[in-house]
Amino acid sequence: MMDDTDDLGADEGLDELDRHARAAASALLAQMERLVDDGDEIDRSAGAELAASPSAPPTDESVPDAPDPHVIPLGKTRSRPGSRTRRRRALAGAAAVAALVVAGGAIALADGEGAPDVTSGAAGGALLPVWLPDGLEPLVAVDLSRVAPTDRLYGEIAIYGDRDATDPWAETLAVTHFVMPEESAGGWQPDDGETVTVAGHDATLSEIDGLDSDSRGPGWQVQWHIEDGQMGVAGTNMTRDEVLVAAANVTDGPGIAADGLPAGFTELARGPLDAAAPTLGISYPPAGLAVTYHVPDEGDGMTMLHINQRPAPASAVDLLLGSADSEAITVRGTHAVVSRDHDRGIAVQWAEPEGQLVTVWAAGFTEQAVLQVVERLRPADAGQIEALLAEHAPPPPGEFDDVAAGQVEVASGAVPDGGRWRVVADPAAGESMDALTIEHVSADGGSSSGSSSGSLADTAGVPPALEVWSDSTEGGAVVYGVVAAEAATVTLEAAGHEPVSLELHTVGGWDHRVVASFVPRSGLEAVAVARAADGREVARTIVYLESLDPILPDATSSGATDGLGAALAETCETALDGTVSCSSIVTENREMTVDAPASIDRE
Amino acid sequence: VAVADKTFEAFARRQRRPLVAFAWSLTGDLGVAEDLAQDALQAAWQGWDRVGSLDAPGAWVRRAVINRAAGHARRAGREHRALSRLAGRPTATVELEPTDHRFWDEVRNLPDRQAQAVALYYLEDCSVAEIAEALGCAAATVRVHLHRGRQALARALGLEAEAKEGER
Repeated sequence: MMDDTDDLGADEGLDELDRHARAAASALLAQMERLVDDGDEIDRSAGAELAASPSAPPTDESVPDAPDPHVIPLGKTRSRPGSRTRRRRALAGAAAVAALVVAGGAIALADGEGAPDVTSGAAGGALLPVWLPDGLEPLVAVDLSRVAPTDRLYGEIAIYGDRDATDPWAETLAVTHFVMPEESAGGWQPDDGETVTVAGHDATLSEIDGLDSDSRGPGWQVQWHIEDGQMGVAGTNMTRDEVLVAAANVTDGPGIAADGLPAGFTELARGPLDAAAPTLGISYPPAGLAVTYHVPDEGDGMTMLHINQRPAPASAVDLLLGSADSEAITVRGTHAVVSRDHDRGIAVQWAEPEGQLVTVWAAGFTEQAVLQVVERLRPADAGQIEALLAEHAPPPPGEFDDVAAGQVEVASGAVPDGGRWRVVADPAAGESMDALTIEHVSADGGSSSGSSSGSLADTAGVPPALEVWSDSTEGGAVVYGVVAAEAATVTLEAAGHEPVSLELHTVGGWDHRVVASFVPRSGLEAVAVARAADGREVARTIVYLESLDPILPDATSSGATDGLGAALAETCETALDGTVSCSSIVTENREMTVDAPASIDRE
Repeated sequence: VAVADKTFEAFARRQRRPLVAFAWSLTGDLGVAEDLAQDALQAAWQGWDRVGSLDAPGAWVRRAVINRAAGHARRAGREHRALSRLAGRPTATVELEPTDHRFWDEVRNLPDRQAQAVALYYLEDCSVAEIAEALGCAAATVRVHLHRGRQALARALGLEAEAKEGER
């Protein structure tokens, strides 16, 4: 049997092709250097901005199309070609949804059963808006005291600088203690950088380039893994040595001992990490209330408003001054800080007399509107909070939220890890994939959903007889789609595998039926075949069972091999008019016997 | 900033250009390629708690690009819409020598799986195992795709004189 090593041996006569091909590859990659991400700012578009830009201002630019259903979007995010700015905004919007889900459905409450405990810390005195911009409604309300410790990613930060400097925030040292669940901490990986030793810990030192929109300037950062998470020291406009000295003098708290600070440096602010970067929306103090408002049916997550309140030292207000575009203002008659970010929106932060740090951050609204919300926050009584949490708390882990009005749950099922999937249809959207949404919840409370758009409808708008997509999940994939009424069965077929019958479901008012089944396979290219009751083939289409799991060679492929290994899926071609044509099913053995070389040369 | 965010940021920074190049090799359109790469990275980000824990998250995003590229080619309606959108913006083009352009054109003329395998092989210098992981098939299958794809390329590019010996 041919082994699976990378040694391809020699493939005679292709040396010239290889030279030609590698030259073409080099030329193309060189072009990418020129054309793609012409600088660090753009380089960060898929990384930092995705990760750190939970929201974006509204745009009237068209962002049609939902992501491919192979994506596992956490909402109906949209990403479209267009200007670079447009893409970045769309990505920021996607991240906004991610943050939103983290703030809601993706966290597990400590007591995952039953209604929220309204007698907890969020119950009394929290501020709620008495005025909101038109269209905003509560989406998710979370009592932070009930977030399970295993889901609580929480950080403490202290920032040091020279208060007598013209701008004390121009040169700073920040120490961050990021507490992570054990599972996350075990998987911690530092940034790329120089390996150094800090207080007996292996640490990674790297340069901050200062081009991040949230950064005030270049500098250095050093990070190391500790028992419960990560410790880090970052110096903005500080030297490498200054950062290393500070890191060597880190104390619990976290803090930096005086010996580790430059002359004149004192603590400027201290508090929860999310107070320094509220728009990240990823840090959960052990108490407080977080409420997210959205515009129902907007769908793209571009317009949201969050109100987070949690206990914190008064100085935590100033943590927001570390943002590049920030300034001190007065709201509600007290000191506050406003931070403005083109992509992430506007954040306003202040401390209430009761020791509550309140942060309002919004995307898609003017600063004036946000400030109006801030000024019109009023203490809510326990009954109001109770009602809010009862109606908008994230669903218990492993359970779906209610289906939206006008939609119907078509099919659902379990996945091996204890989670569940379901396919939801919007009957009014037409009898096509456009009407379907695939949703998942995991046993630990994570959730995701994705919609599929871009029907294969022909130029006359007639949908194809069969459209099937797969959506990966733990242990396999949910195969779902739409099939014409004349089809009596739909099977998933691949060489070397027994055909799998996919379940058909009816949707009220539709002639077409919905195909939906969980398939415990991964890494397989298969063909979905629809057949009429008399066995006549109605339609077929390729399905890629993309999996999140590492892909393993198929252990169940046909035993009648010629010793050459795994099966080769049937080859199908689909013309631009939507017509699918497939070659006859041939076994890999036969093809390989005739056609396959013993090996292929590789330089 | 969350560790996961930083890890993803580094991953995305490493992957973006080669991912766009790979997508371009399959589609021939830089705008579409950028979007395919971006969509794939977006998918990776949104499932990063799982994708980031894979042994080869790079293979996962390549498969995501493959799936999207396949969808792009298959969906005429979407393509038309995409072209309409593309028409409204300044377009950057990949400027290659004619011989290099021709090579990639011929790659795109290959059957999908062959094109994908060949692109990963030459462009990303992937091993057979890596290609298998990205394509979601067995290594033996990759060898077949590579062999056929390369033979076809040699023929199409007039480099078949030496290759004939290796053909059946």
